Amino acid sequence: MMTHNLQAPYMPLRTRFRAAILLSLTALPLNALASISGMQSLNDEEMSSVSGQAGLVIESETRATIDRLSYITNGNGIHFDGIELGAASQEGGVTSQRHDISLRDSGSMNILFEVDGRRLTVDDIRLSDRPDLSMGGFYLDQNRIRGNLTISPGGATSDSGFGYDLFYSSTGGRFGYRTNDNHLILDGLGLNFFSLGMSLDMEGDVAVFRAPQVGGQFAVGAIRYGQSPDNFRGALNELPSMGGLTLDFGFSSRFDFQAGGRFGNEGLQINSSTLLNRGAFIYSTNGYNLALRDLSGESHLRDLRMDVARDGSGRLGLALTLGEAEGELNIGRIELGNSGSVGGLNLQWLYADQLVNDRNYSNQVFIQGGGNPHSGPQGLRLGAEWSLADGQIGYTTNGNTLYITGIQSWGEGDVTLDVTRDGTLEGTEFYDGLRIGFEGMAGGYRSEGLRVGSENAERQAGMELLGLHQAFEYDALDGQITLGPIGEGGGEGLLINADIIIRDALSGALLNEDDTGVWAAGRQHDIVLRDMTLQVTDNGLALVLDEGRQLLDIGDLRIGHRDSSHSFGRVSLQTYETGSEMTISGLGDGSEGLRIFRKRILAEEVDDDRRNRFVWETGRQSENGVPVNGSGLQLVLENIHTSDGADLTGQGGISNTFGLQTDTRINVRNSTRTAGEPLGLGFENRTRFRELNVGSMDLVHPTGGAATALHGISLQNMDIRSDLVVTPIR
Amino acid sequence: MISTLLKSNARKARSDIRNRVSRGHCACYGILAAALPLFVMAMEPLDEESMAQVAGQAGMSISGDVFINEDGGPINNASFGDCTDNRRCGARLASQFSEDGGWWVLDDFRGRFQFDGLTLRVRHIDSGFAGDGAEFNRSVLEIGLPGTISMEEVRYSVGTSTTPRPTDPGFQQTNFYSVHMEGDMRLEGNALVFPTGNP
Repeated sequence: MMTHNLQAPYMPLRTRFRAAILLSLTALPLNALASISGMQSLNDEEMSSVSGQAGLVIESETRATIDRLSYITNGNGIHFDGIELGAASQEGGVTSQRHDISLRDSGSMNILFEVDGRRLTVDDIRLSDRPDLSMGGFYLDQNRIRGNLTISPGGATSDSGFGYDLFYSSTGGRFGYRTNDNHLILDGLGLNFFSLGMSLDMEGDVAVFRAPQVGGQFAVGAIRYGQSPDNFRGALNELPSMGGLTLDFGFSSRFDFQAGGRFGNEGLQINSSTLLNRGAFIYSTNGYNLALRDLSGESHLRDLRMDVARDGSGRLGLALTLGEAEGELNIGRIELGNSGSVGGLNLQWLYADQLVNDRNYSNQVFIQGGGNPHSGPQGLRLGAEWSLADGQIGYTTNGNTLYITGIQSWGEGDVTLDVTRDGTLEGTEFYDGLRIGFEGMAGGYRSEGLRVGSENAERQAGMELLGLHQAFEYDALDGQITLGPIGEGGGEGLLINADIIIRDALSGALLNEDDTGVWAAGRQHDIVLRDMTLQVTDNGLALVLDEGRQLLDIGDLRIGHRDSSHSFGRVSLQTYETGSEMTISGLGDGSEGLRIFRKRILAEEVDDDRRNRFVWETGRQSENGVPVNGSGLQLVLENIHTSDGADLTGQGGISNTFGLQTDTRINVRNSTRTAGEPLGLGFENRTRFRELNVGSMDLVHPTGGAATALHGISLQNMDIRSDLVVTPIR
Repeated sequence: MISTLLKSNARKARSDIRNRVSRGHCACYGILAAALPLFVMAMEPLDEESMAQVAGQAGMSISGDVFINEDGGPINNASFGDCTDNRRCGARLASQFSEDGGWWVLDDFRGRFQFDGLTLRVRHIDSGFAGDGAEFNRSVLEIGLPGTISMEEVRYSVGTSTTPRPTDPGFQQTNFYSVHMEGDMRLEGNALVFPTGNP
């Protein structure tokens, strides 16, 4: 039920009459409800201009419900079930809103609006072919909205269109996304923005929306996680926070809308261009910021279509398919904590169809319901395919830039999104937080390599020093990353649990234009991370790992073309770390650069899954053309581990707290040691450890068994510092 | 063919260490070589023909300094300390060849190395090498030697020890010799690394 208070025409606002009209809200279309948004208080100047004009005041108390709202194209539908517009504070309550509408001498209409404590709820989003699965539900609280919308006749290109000016502010909002009674909540939402000179014109059969001047701020006070069968209301300070976000923006945009889907006559086609004039993004935990400042750039979308359609596997989804996307993003400064600027980034991209390995890749995503099949009926599944035809990354420190050019990426697979809780369901282990799952991903990327100084400078190697592969392809990637709160007195931040399995991968380094290089083929990589915290601190971005396990098995390490036959053999590295740490920061000395400090605690062997071990195997026997591990001659380093060499903790025995420490500083600078002082990748590294031990070095014959060549190796008191600049070969 | 490559490159390679010369060696090298026969390292000088082939290839050239335990290591106890007193300030490598046996040690290793133009790239060889290159016809990992490596205060000792740590009970150590190197070491040509086995 809703009450409208109407003001009689031509009466001053402050002497209005009131009339109560009861309306049936179920008859109110959702787009009408959605149009009631935004607000700003009238100031005295505006009041004086309005006084004496035609006016109308609508005050209402609203609660509206809609059982189902459907978007249907070509006979396929996506359903929004259980829609309610009511009070944020209590279930079934009404929300109050007020609209002051006036006509000005110019013929424009001015709408001042105020909304308090409103909640929009959608219980489930389903597709018409799978009513048993849902994408989950959400609730959006809009609080203390104050806004002012002016609608003027005449668009940007014709008198038949309209022009709009909007001022909007709101604070204390909330957005909750829920799946299976677990909630990811953006709490304390605040939005202030203005958009001047907006216009909507019909140009032929195309609706053109222009927003030439938009600016404002968006903030998330805290990203929270909670568990409840009911949607959360009221203060949520007791729920742990993963941190907060702030976004400043100023941009101009144009959107062209027209009818026509990718898979039938019905659907929506969008072309758009956006110019980002200014911006800043800040992620903060416990008062410390990860800040991307001085943002600018542009984005152009061509032929983006929206349909409800079936993907290549016959699954119905909300289909977003793209013709091309081209753009650029400049990040002037990246700041981590109080460690200074890491430098700036320039990202350029062209997403377009391309042929890779005799297969055509395009850019599309089919949004479906269900999420992970074991987490419950609610969740998101994104059937995705991507194709980055050309990309480039520029990294600038102190005015000098390093480029990674000619980046291509392609792939396909399913990404699932669920809000989950600790526990095992149907044999799958889940953790508290937002779970990002990967199912049947296959893809890869490659790049030309580095260029220093300019985009057209001589190509050089060096990505390997940054921990990047120049080329990487994989036939199967499965697993999950769950981002949850730290909680339990650990402060704001992320708690990360991850399991990633990569099969049949190929990576390349030191690649030439003819694809000759060092290739690692037949890569199998298992990664397990348990309870890794991520927080922004005074020193930078800090990651602390409770337990990490990796098994990297390269079946065929070779030099030459990617299909080369001669091989070094198989190399396998297994790692087991406990209590390792990493801090990513600026240099902290006033100059720009990236500093990565790592302390890796290589623990002593516990069992076959928890150990540090290196294997080099040659001469494997093949079965059906596939080399069999363990059938060749192996060199095995067993039980590799770090040690303090003494009891530094006072707990008895030999402690293991110092680990393998590497402190790396990266920037772009001149090589003063080389003639002409060419610009290059500056790489300064310091590696320290008290002890790095190997339990034994064994030679293992497939039939003769193991023979121990060394019964122990102990490397002690090491401190290696290198100060290098990497340039092209001259 | 490989033996020809090795022979011809060994003849062309030149190593000239001025002042005092290292005598260091490691028994484990022999074990490694016996265990891993499926790769080969050869040497060749970098002539103009090779230089011409470099253009357009995406290798890298590395220049700079490497310091090993310049101001001592991270351990500070009765045996290890900084470089200003009589305690070890270098690194220590201990290896045990037999179970319950003694330990071979490379002890108190430290020093500073400076170089310009150590290159790394993958290169295809299908010519040269007195006609062997055409038959060889495969890619190699080429490590371009920097010409001159300057050394400062490079020191180490070789010996045997009863325990891996000098702080372990019953520790005794006998050094066979100690080395101190200063000056420039000339390393010209390329080291070529290539696999010869199967996956």
